[in-house]
Amino acid sequence: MKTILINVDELWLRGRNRSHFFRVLKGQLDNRIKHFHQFKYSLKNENQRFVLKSDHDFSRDLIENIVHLPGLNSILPVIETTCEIDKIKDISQQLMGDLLARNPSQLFTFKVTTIRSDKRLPLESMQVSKDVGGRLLSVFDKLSVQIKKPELEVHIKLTFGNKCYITLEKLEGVGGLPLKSSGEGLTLISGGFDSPVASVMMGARGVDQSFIFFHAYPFVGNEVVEKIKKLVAQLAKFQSHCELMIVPFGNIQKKIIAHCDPKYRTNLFRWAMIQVACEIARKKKKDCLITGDSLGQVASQVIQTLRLLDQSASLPIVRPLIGMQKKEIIKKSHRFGLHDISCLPHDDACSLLAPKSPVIKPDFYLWAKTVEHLTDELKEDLIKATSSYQKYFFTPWGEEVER
Amino acid sequence: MLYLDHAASSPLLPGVKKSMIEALDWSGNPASSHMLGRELKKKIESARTFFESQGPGKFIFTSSATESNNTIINSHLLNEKKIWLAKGDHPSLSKYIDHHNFIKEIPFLSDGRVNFDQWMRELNTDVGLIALSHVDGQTGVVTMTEEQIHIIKEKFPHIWFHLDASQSFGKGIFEYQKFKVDSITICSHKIGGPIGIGGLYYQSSFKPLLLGGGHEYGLRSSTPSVFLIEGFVTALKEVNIIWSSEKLKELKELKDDYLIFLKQELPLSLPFQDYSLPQICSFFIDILTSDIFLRFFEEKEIYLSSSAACSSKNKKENPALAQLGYDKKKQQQFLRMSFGTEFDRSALNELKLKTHQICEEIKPLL
Repeated sequence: MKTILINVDELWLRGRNRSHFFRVLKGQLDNRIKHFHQFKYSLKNENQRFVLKSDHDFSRDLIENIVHLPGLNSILPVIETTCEIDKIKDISQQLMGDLLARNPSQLFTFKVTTIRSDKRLPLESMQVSKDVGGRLLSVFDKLSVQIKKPELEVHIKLTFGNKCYITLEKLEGVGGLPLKSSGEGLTLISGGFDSPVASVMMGARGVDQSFIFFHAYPFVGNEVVEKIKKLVAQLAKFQSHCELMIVPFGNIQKKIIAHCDPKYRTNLFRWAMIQVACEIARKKKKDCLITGDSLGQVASQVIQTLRLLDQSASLPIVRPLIGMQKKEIIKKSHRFGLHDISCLPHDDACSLLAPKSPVIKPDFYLWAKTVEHLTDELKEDLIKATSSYQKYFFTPWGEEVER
Repeated sequence: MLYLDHAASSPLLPGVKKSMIEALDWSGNPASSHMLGRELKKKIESARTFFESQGPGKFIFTSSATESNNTIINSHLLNEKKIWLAKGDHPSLSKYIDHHNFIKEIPFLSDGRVNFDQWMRELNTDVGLIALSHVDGQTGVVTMTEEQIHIIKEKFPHIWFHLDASQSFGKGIFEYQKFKVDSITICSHKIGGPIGIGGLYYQSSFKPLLLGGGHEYGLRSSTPSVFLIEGFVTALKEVNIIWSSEKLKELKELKDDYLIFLKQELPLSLPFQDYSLPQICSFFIDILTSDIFLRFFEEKEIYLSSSAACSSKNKKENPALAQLGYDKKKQQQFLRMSFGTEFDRSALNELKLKTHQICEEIKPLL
């Protein structure tokens, strides 16, 4: 029998609606397990954690995919036994022996952590850790004990029903809340570092998302679409089934370029994107827009511009990176497996389209006048953009599918 | 729609398509001794005779210009004598530079021509092969004149001189029968024939690349594809007519006319104008990457090239322009239009009109 323990994260904080979200989360887990595991399995709620069991081994692909699902604290592929000290020692020795055999000629520091959830059990956690540690030290001469930040950790859990779970492997989830527990959003994505990180962060706050990309063809070539699809394929692992919309934006940009003060050009591009995104989000019954704005990172991300954009939007614009510094964003980008995709070179029209001296403190009245004038020029193009996009669909295992 | 990318590939000529459809019904193997086989053999040999009347020496069919080039270079690799190649030439020639240490690089001028004087000082008798594109696929420049080639052959008669004439063959001007070279590569789809067939002229025998049933004078084994050969020979017969000297003169005028017009719209560099074929119009736009122009034209259904069709997707160094001394920034400003015989005054007017519209759209950004 193969077993995986799946611990939930902030669902603990929820009150009476917890059981509802547990069922939602279970459905999302089932969806992924069924894709990767062709055999019979059971997924049960045991003391507010999921226990996944099957007669057949679970694949690495499954375990590595589940890690992305929002709402999970940790994933532990374990061996199950009964709470008898000799059995616990034997299994720990066997697990450690296997691991050391896979890494011959390497020395390791380790510790043993035991948690006893069922206090009625006779074994005491400190004693179990001591006994198992003693056994491992006496059998393997490559091991030495280190309590702070050891390289290996034996996790032993003594729990209800005289059950004991043992493992050397604990994978950290993205945590937070399950998808859909905080509604649905439409994420404005670019090819850079910020917006993908923003998407994962809001995913972990329980926002199920679709993605929208504004394609500046002919200023930018179609190669960029391939990059965006790669990015969304990775982001999709943090989502339930999701959609990517590629909106043609070149004609709107051409009009803005032809009719507006170049100082306001970038801001007006943003304004147009927000208008189109709001309209698509409304049609798709989304609750918010999500962007990767970080305050002041570039001239068009100053608070005055964000204020004007918020005022022109019919939905809240959620900006999880607003107070984050670039190096923190990059760090998260690495952690979420996005960094290398964001680094792929792509055509960037920014250097061509960016005005030589963009406005850094937009004037409210001037802006309002420009937008009012523009709206007439652009009305048709904006409406057209809300329905003339290309659609792509992705599964939670990052596969593009037809729908 | 304006197709201005004939140097990459020319659309099938109408007569070619018809001849190929007919030929698809011919069954049998040309090597068979029965009547059907003999009929096919006759068709192939009559096509070969026509090709041999157009160039020097004997002629065999191959699968592509790449195969023809590879065949000649490979047959010279074993004797380890020096081989001169152009570093920025078509990859089917230039790829050999990285793999063999006895290969030397032909020097070039920035206008696209071979730096003949410098090269003559470096050339010596320790050379087995020279292989080079007659017309560069990207700049459209005639790299060497007939006279220059003859001077080399007079001075070093033992050197095997191989010319890749993919861009120029069949399109007027050059009388290849008179070329004093040892072998010439030609290509079907650059003259409106089918893709998948090329050819090789040669004066004396060489080591074949493919061994087998001994087809094509024993130099290129593979059952010949009769319908591709039929398409190829029909294309050559047609281009001999449509690529007249009047047409070439007209194209030269249209090209010069367009460049004068474009110079008023945008700052240009035109190092290749005087030395390129009339049908190839290549230039640098001094202020912008040409990819953007390529897409603005594409949006208006005008198709052209920002570098060679094989390499325009990778944004690395463009070897053809690098060998002429242009840096990466300059390379990205390169644009090539290559005309077919359908290009005329009214097409030029359409091109000018669309070009003007594009410039109007882009100007506020400059």
